[in-house]
Amino acid sequence: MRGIAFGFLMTLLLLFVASSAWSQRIPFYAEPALSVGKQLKGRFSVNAKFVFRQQFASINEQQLDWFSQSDVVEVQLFLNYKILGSKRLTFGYLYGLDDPFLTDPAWEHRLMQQFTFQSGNRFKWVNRLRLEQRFSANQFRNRIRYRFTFDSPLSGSKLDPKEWYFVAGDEWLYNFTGKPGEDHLENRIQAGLGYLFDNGHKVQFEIQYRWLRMLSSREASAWHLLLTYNLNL
Amino acid sequence: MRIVLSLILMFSSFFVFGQSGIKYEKEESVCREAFPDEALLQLQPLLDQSKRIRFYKETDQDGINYEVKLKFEGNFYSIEYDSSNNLKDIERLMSWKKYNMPAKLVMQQFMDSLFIKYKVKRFQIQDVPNSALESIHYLPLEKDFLIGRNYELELDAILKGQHKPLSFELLFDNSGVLLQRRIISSDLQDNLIY
Repeated sequence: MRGIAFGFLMTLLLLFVASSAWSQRIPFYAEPALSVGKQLKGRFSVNAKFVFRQQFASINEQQLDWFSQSDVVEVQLFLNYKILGSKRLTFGYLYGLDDPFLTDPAWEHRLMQQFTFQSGNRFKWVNRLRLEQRFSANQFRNRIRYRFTFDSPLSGSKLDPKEWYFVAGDEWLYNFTGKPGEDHLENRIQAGLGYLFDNGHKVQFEIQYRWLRMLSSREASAWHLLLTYNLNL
Repeated sequence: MRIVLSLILMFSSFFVFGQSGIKYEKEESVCREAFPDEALLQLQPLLDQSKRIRFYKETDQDGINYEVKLKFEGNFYSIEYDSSNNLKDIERLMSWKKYNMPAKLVMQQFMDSLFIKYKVKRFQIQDVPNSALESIHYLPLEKDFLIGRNYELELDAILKGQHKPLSFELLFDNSGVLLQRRIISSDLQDNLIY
């Protein structure tokens, strides 16, 4: 019961902060995604993730403009190698399009290398360290990011089918290009609820607050509503 | 004689290993009032001195059990009752690296013989005493093993001849003979990784 109360309180708190932010005219995005995993032979597994981001509002001369516009479409492919003790090495590739339905969308190819390890029993802490090399039409960027996430079932000490769980996390991202003035720091904090189905699939809803270009004069923030469906073949 | 004894232990352990199954268990939090009354009555003196008390109802292929988890004198315990108010077992969470007992070497030899690699994630001493209170009071003072004591390990391991890591729950008796092995259906964490 305490778990349920905690989970709902945290989510409600974030919703409250989000609504406050709305009145302060912070851009708002919805980000549905589908994640498909498949265990291969031995220690290897693969995962494909399809992300679609829709922008619903932005600030224009201190006014909140309400509109709906496709922002990003991404396809991500990952190859995982499982190490004993809940550790994983992952290599990934991403192909993304900004403003995908315009006549000349901006493309990006991204290579990713990540190491994840998990600890905890009831509260599972997952630490993820990821390196990214981002190639686009007019520039090359590096990014290093560290994320810790935890989830906890809202009933019992382990997650069983047909049960809800609480999930929360924080991520730090540092973008660097080697060019002065272009490096920047970003933080993403998120919380939400998930549900495990009988068939092992999960659906997860999270609210994410992004603090962009921290410590810079171009500092900004955004709200993202994430809805992810995870299935394993 | 020792070699013969080790071989007998090893053989009997392999026999049990071949008969093992998969552990399916559903656990849900319950309030104190939903816990069996007789069990609560037996536990009351202990609950008065404990912290972080949580009550659970467990359903598996054998039926319904009730479990209370608590912290007593700095140690974590799980005490399990069946639906007829009979004490099933009491478990105390321990450090595998720090805790030394005579059976440890036999258990290690068994696991070395069976797995290419293994990593112990969780280790508990399991006992079946007359009452929970009795057990709680002698467990912290215990230096050596008692008759009837078992050791339960949860580990990630790769079986010899295979490549895929699996999660296992192994139950040994106090002389290191494997009593039970179950594969734990591990929770997929893809939602936290990508």
